Amino acid sequence: MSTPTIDQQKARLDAYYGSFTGEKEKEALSVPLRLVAAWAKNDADGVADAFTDDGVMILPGDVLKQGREEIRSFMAAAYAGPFKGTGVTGTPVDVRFVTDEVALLRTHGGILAPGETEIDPELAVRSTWVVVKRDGQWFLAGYQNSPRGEGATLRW
Amino acid sequence: MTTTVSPNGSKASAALAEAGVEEDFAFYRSFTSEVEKAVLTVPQLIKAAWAANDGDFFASIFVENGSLLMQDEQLTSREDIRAFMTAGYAGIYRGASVDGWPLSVKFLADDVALVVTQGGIILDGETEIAPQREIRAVWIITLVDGHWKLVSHQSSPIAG
Repeated sequence: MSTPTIDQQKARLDAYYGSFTGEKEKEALSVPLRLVAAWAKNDADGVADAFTDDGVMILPGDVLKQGREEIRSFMAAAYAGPFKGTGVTGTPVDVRFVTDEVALLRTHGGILAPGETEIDPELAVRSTWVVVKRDGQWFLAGYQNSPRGEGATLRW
Repeated sequence: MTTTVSPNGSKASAALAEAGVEEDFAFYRSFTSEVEKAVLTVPQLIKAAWAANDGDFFASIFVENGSLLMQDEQLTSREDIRAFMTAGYAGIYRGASVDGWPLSVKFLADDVALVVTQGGIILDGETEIAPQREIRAVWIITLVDGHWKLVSHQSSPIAG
């Protein structure tokens, strides 16, 4: 695999940001970019370090992890088991700032089975990323996903 | 200096009284500081709006650009939420209520809180939350002109 050129990397990033081209928006979107990159390496530390110390992760399947260390342990076990070799993808569909240092990002995406580039419809999710700026860098204070499409059954 | 804060003297009590909603003191669980209780008036108001099946009341709890995910529908304004819930209470949600309780309350800034709750919807004719409708929800709640308002609500099914 050849290393992408700077121009190719920039084109990929521009495609990722889509209509969210403001500097603040792009800064906030650094969080999902970091997480996707860490996931691609199945790097539990990288995923955990995208969160704040007391960040929260909620996934369907009875997953509620509170704090970076719980998230690290969960991801390490997942990458050794059910998530082994998987990737994750997501396209930003909404970026809104609650304050200059708190933002909500929404992405449509999901887990990619090993070797796949398209999401299985059953794995399609709507994710909300609650991101906060701490000492000049954005972190994940809360990550949550919910089924997208047919899997989104009636609930409150 | 002695400060006595009676239950009826708190900001939470005042906010609920203003909305005509009876305060549920058990709702707070371990989150009993004045500011935690004030934040937790929002889920109590939402619960009351469901109990009344009142789309206007429901929408009024949100900020103007509030967002809400219902099933596969991402709503992104108070007016969208009002229309969606008003139609829902005349249709699929008629007679439904919700139950829930806080699992965590964290402040992202002085005037922005992230609350996690567990609970779910109780459909008309049901007496408890069906296992497939048990959820955990993230609420982003912010202070606007002295009132805590809902910025965003999304639930994730516990089953999956």
